[in-house]
Amino acid sequence: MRDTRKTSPTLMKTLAGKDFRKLGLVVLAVLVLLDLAVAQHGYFGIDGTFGFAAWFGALSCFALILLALAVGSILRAPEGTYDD
Amino acid sequence: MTTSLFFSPATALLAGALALLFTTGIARKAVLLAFPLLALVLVWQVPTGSVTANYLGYALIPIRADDLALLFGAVFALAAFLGTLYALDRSSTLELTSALVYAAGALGVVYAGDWITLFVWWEVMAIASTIIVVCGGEKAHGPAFRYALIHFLGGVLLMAGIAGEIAMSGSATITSLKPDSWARWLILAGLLVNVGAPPFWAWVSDAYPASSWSGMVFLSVFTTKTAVYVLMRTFPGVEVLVWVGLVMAVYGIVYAALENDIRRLLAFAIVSQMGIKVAGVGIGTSLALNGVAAHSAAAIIYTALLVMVAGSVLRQTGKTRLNELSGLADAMPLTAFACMIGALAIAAFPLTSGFVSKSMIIEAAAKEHLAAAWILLMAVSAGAVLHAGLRLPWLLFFGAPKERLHVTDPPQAMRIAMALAAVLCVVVGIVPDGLYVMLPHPVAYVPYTASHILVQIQLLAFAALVVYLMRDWLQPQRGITLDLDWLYRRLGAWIARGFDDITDRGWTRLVSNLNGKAARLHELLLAYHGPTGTFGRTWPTGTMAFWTTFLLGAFLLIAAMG
Repeated sequence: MRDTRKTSPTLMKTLAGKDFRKLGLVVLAVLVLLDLAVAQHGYFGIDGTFGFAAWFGALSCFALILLALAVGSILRAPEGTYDD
Repeated sequence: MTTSLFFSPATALLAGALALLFTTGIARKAVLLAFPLLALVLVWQVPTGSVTANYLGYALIPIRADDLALLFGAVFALAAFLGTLYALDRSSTLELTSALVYAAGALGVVYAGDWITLFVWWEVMAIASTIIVVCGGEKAHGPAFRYALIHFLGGVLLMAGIAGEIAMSGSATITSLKPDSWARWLILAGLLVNVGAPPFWAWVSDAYPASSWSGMVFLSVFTTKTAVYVLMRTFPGVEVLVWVGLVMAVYGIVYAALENDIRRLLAFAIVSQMGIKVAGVGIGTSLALNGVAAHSAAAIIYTALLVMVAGSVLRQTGKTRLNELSGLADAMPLTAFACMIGALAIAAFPLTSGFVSKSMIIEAAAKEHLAAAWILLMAVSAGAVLHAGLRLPWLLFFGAPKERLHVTDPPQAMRIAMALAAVLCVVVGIVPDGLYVMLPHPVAYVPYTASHILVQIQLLAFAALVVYLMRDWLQPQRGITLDLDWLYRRLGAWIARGFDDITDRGWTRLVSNLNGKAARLHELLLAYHGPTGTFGRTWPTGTMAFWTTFLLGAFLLIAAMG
């Protein structure tokens, strides 16, 4: 039996740490800049533009989270709601 | 016909189910592993073409084999094997026997060439899967009952549609249809119930998490996937399916993002993934249908993998709520690793089976210039990181542990099953050609172009960034999210109770009213015809005695004279 506390907080610290954030931002920036090197052939025009998938991914995920929060604020109920 | 049925892979699983009843110990384990493997071998031996038979005047096609049947048959048999391997230590013979019958039902549907054969196997699946849900324990009885009701309703819709279709067309053969008659709409509705479409989608998240740690693996594989298989055969290119599918895809993501229970979260993820496939059937081009077939095959394995991970967590910790679980990676490293692979696959990350399959459906939408469908498919593709893709592994395995849980990875058989499923997710992702050659249409699709890879990684990375930035809003909260099942679990119950009250009150009033009238009638009769009544007074007892004596005397006289 190992202590589950040993390394997870360390991992959390790493992920929340400044170095990780910097690394993450660099990776994201490189991903967007790669659009300059890779020719994107879109079907609709907009999907061939610079950084499309990046902002679209962020925006659609943001929109889905907002939708989820809206749905949650209306429809969340206690666990025993249906227990009679 | 007998020799052909011998080759049917379904019979191997039925034989396995039977053998399971009479074996224990090592023999039982051997049966559990051998018969699904035998079914997998038999899948390759079914010759292309069809076997016909006559029954009650109908030309039946109990077996019709082609590329699509081969693909689904193989994946179902493989998934049955992974499921029984995972469940090797499960003591419930009832659950495992039902699981093999359930898998046999799915293979039966895959090879069914006519509606009557299909319907028989369809109902075999409904009954067997209900028993699997029941085996989840006492808390599963309610969900199992609702599951059975919904599936029997779906069965009734399907049967009514089939009866109408046979009456109108005169043929029971399953062919590609257009929903242009009430019978075909009923068939479509019956299929959509099983695929997890609105308004009955709540059965997935209601029943699946109620099953046992092993039961949900089988459940996650067969019902929804056989339904999408039949949809592919019968209603390709029906536009309404695009929208039904997209609604399912968005619903699944939204509900999974809010969910606290890991197995309910996966149930929502299943509906979301099914939605993408249903939309693909609606698009209906060769590329889209290839995508649906490939995505079904990939999803069966990676969903089973994620469900196995959740089952392992349930079995080892006894918990399924995210707010009670966290930081399990150190205690259960292999399970955590399997979860990561499953998560990458469901999010369609390059080098996984999800990437080489889902992208075909999205590309098909783009090629058909279905802008709205394409935008939504891309959005739900990015949204996959919201549930099983990032939220599940992150919260379950990599958060700070909430309490010290002395747990380990699950027993060996479960670990091997998860490892095999994980390997399959990656191998199919790296070498998709093995999957592509089994697709129903010729494949001219190349998944690994620099453009495809970059778009997908950008999409997922930036979606993950948003999830990371908004992580405080996505913390698991105890509770449930009300769903459309509220309509029959609450509103329906209220209406039924109200109706009960009204009829009860009406009945009481009717009875008391009639009682009063009867009593009054009685009084009236008594008043006039009673002993003291006006008419009764003329009938004294003496008169009756006199007439009786007279009649008896007359009778004696006549008898004596005769």
